[in-house]
Amino acid sequence: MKNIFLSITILLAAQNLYAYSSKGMKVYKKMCLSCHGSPYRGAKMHTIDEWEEIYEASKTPIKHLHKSDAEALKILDADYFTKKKQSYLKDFLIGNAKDAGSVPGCDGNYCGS
Amino acid sequence: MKYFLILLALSFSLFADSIEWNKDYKTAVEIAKETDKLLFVFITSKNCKFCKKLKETTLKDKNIVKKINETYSSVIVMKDRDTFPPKLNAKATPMLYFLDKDENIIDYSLGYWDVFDFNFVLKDVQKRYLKGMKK
Repeated sequence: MKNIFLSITILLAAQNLYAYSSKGMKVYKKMCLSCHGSPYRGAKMHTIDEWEEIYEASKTPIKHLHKSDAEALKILDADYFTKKKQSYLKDFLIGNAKDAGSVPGCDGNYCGS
Repeated sequence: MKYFLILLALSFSLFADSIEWNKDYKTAVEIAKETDKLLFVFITSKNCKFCKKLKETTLKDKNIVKKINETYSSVIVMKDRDTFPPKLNAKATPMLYFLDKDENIIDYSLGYWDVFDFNFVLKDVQKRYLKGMKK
């Protein structure tokens, strides 16, 4: 009984993690793709430290980053980009940063030797 | 005569239909200094299928070729075989490094990217270079 309960908990937690990551990717696709490339490419614009620095520098970091780009600000001001969505995006960007370990286009994260 | 040859090489590179790879890292650095270009170092390895894919698809695209030949002195080096600075480490390949002519790392990129994304890779390098960000 204890094992079944543990298995269900792990399964639910894993599903939740996956959903979290895919939600961030969905936000990226809607808000960022046209100017910054595919989701994994966009996340790899910066390292984990650089993303964290960006997020620490402002309460509205993504808008702050695009402060001199009127077109981008128009997109970012959309009602869609709620605080929750911004937080999904943050997790996606940091989780897939340049030095986060995910490698694009490689089978099982294996790129040669 | 030297400047004539550099000019000739430059004009060829602008109209080339493939990336002008230098024979080794040292030559690529020399050419970068002579022509005031940045350095593009492609680290590959034996049996790396994504290196082959990157080289034969994305790096054959006309616009990408033009951008790289205009801005970079390029070289392909084989991990664990060719000579290049140890700071250009590559735990996996394809590993791409973008350096200034004094061999300071501007940016790096790991893995395969298609043409759409590779354009953003090059754009990011330019942005970092212009901002004077060293990675």
